[in-house]
Amino acid sequence: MSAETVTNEVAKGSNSRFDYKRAWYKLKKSKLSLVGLFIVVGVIFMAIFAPWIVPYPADATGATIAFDKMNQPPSLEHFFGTDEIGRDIFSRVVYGARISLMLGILVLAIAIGIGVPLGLIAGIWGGKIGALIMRITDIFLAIPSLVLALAVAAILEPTLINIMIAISFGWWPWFTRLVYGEVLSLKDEQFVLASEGLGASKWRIAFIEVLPNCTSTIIVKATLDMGFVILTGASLGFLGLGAQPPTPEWGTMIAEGRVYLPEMWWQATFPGFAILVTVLGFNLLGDGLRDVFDVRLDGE
Amino acid sequence: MKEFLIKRTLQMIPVLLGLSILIFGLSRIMPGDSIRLKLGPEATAEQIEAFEDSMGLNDPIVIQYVNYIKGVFTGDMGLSLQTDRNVATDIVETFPATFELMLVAMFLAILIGVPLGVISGVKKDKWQDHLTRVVSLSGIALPKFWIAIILQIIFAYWFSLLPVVGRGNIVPTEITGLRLLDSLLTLNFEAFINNLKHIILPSIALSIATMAQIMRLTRSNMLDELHKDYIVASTSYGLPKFMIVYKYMLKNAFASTLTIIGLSFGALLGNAFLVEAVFGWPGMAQYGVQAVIYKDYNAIVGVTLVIGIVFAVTNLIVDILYGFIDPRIKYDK
Amino acid sequence: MMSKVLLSIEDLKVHFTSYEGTAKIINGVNIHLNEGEVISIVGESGCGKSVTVRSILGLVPTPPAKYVGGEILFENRNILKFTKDEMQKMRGQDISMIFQDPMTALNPVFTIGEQLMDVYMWKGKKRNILSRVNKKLKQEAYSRAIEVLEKMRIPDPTAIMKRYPVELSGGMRQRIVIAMALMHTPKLLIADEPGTALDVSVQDQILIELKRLVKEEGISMIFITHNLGVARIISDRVYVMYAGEVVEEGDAKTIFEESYHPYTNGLLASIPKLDGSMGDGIDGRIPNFLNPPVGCRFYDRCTERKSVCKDTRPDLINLLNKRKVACHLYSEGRN
Repeated sequence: MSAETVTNEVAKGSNSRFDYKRAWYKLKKSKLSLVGLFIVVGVIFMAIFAPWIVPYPADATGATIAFDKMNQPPSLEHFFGTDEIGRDIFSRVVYGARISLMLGILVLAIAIGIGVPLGLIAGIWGGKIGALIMRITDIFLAIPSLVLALAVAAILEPTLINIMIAISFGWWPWFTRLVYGEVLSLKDEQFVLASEGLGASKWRIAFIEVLPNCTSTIIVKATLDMGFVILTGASLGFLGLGAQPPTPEWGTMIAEGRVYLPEMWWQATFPGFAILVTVLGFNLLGDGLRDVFDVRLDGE
Repeated sequence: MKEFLIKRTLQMIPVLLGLSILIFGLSRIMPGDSIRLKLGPEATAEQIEAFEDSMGLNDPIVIQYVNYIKGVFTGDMGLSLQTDRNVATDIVETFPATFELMLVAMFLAILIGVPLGVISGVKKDKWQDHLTRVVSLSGIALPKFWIAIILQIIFAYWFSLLPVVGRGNIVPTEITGLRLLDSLLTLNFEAFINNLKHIILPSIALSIATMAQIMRLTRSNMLDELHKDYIVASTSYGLPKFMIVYKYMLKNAFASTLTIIGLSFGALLGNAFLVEAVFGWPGMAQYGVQAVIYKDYNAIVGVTLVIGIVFAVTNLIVDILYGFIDPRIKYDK
Repeated sequence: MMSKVLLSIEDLKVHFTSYEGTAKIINGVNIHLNEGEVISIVGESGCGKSVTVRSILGLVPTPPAKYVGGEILFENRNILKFTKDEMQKMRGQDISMIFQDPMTALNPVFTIGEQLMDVYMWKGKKRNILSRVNKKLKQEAYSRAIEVLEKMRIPDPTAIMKRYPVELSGGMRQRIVIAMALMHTPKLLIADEPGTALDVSVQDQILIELKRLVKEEGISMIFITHNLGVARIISDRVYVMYAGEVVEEGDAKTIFEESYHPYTNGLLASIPKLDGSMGDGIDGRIPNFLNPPVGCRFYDRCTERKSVCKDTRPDLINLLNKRKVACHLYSEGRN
């Protein structure tokens, strides 16, 4: 048996401990997690099929003006009412799902893309490199991520892409810290020691042996974070630093609608509900997945 | 204990120094239109150049940074483009408002979050638990700025119970800058009521997410406690359930909850930016938001640094408190 | 001499439900204890001895556990039918328990004194947020705590009262755990392998101490252990449990001299020898409780199994000398 197959055997042993029957049983048993799954699937469906779902697609993306139906309260024709220039708020809210999901996915892709390798390197290599990476991580985590995102947003033009960059800037360290912690606890496991003993390179240990064993933790964290990233994006949008009108971004829509309070309450209310439900969905699902994968995250 | 304090304080320095470099660096790569914005559209290139020179913006960035840090130690955090004053002066003026808001919010979050978490944990899978969990998960998912607006609509506009914006119009004699405290110290109850009315809505809006976090954490800590040997043992000795839950379990559970309270202080600081913006609360976070919008780079650096310091100090305090609650923690590490 | 029966467990059956199905953890257990007697329940971990004794104090959470049959009679009252209040009144006063691991059985964030005194002051009482303790009761509690600590031969009890568990050694903590259970001098003491987490020498000392105290105070005791050697030292009679069933019972002495059930033989063989060598363990593991064997539950691991053992469950039959065994080897009258 070659060295490589031995390592693979041992590594597989540690992966195959996961019991899918048990996982599905656990997920099914928790009704709240199923609600979360339902919401998440629903939001994704809305985002993909928005053009076919909404009654007034043109209102969603453009700045169409229709003075004849300005400021209408919710009705059967306009579920969420219309805004100050007569656009259908329901259509805009549904389209908003596209923006929020895209924002969440891209930010997390960047954060995971930067944070996870750094965490692996810091954990496996250790020494000066590891210490340096973790000190830098500490610096980025020394202020709340929303504040850091605000500071970065200040130097950039307010666009959707820039806001993603700003949020990612403060988000990757969380993944570095998470993976670093996982690596430290995995470092002494049999399969890692075995492959080390067999002379596997550090890169191999990091990405082939250790990384697969961190995936469940990363998935759970990413699901929970999806909600928080969307929330942060909407917050920046609300402060006027994100997507600019007429983009149907939920936070921006609330900021716009706020001017017409309290008489035209529907303008600011419905996009807020959309944020609430979406974020709640991801949190519920993430919570359920955490129980299923038996993962404990930082600070819990 | 003394050594622990010194050690922890020394540990804070490299992080804060790193933070200052990071933020300072960011602020200097900011596009130069902030000066143009400040001087107005008629400003000539020479005027802008002269202004930048006077601000030291044309020096090498390292020199700028060293000068800035030197200034910080003498209480000079540079000129704010919004107010034309020293940023330090602005921060000293606005910080107490933010701090007061945060303290009240944290107080509410603990006062409500802990007992609900306990109930939820003890009544696991009963209706109380389900209700608390849905409420707490929604609380975390709520956009803070949105709930702030909703509270405004309901309590300020519809029922006219509470003021819409602002921090109160009767100002007590300033001692600490925390108006509720000052008005109590000077026995100025009129000012107390007035300021209390103003702080209720913003502090509720600010506390909801933190309250929900504390609730969730207390719940899961209580659930962990349920199966601990010493709790089963307490039951076997015939102790009353109430005592086991609120004394023997809660003290352990709260020790773990405390660590999250330090972290939540950070979240609270971040959310203050949103809540202060909605309620026109004249605090440092609102000042920070304005700074971002006007690209007032000195103010951005100043506010961020102060937040970093507050966050670090809070975590230090939490660590000390933790040692008081849990005798297993020793400071000699 | 006919002594009064203090506790009797009659045909106790406990099931646990999990996602995989129903596990028959306790499958018709009969145990009785006379006043002033010390008995041991011996078996490997997972054999159901802990569930059996914890049932006596109502400490097994339901669900997942479900009591499907039998009764536990303490002074002729069925504990399984007790209300919460009756249960709380009984705990600590009539029946008390010593927990296995001294490292986890004491609350880490309260002083020893506070924990001991609370047991004295609040046992069996109601408490709400307004409850207060009067000074006199507090003083009583304090002197009783000191008294019990002295009984456990703990040096300088006044100083110990102010300490936190983390500041004490394992042996000291185990003594305090015992003191907690003795605060009200219960009629029945359940000892769940006390001291197994400690050094053998410390463990021996504590067992000697415990045996002395129990005899002095006239307390009956159920002692749980996986070590037949310990059972012989401490108890009058022994029950051997395997996979949720009692497979053998009898006098501690006679069992040690001649054991009948192949499982007991295995347990005896696994006691560490005087010459320092480790004993031979029993091969195999306890059976799956979800689908336990229809016949003898020990069938898979038994070295003397017969064809009848596979499909027919052996009953507990009476032998000479008040001995009982559940094994087909003895069902045809071989004594």
